[in-house]
Amino acid sequence: MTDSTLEVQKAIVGALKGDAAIVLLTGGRIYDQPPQQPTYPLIEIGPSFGDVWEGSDMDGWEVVMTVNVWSEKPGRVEASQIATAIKSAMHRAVLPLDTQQFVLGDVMGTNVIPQDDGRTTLAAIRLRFLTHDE
Amino acid sequence: MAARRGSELIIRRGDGQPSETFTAIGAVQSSTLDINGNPIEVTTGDDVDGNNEIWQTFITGPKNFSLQARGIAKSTQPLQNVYDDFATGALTNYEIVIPQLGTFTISMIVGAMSFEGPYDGVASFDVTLQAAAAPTTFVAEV
Repeated sequence: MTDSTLEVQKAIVGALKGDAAIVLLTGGRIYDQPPQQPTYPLIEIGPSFGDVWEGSDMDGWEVVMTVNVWSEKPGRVEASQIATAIKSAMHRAVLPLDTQQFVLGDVMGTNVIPQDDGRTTLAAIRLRFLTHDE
Repeated sequence: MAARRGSELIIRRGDGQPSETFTAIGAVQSSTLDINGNPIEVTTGDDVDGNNEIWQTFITGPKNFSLQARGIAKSTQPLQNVYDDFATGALTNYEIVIPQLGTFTISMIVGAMSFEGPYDGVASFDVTLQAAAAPTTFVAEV
């Protein structure tokens, strides 16, 4: 049972940082944990869920990862635009992993949530990946 | 003794060599094994109980052993081996381990294969194996 969550996270960050449209929209601000006083907009790797996905002779892992987009511009346009760029980059993505085999990557859905602070907007994109051993 | 995991039902395909090596046919995620006695009905009007009610009567019929396995192909070779058995009609030895029962070695033919491609999921296969004859060996689990 090999938890590939960190490998998948590294590959997602690599893919997002390598995407010109995303870098242009966010200034390349892609964080595991954003700074206390961040510059917006930014992308944050959000909550993840990992599950065993196995069969005889197969050690596999399913990762559901949320990528959060935080925007400070009024309204949801900027957050939605960045979310769309992330979805384009991640839809049917094939990501390079260090030790595991990549099976599939899909976008499961997006939530756009104006925050109670009346200032920021969150777009949370849920991604799903399957990996297995060599 | 405790109940056992479904993954302990193991299906392995033999390589046909004199000293046979058995390997997995893919990443099997679910398997079903049926042993059928195909009983033959031989009821006659004489098969009555004390109340003169007729009871169906059977004798044992030709026995039959089949299994269905559903899984994912991690690599090309195991799946291609099974398909080759299907295409050539080969009789291939299989080793089948049934938890709490024992281990069968049995010559099987590929009865059917099907493949599934869910649009947002992983490609999978389904194979039905049919015993070509009685099991060669059966070693009960101790």
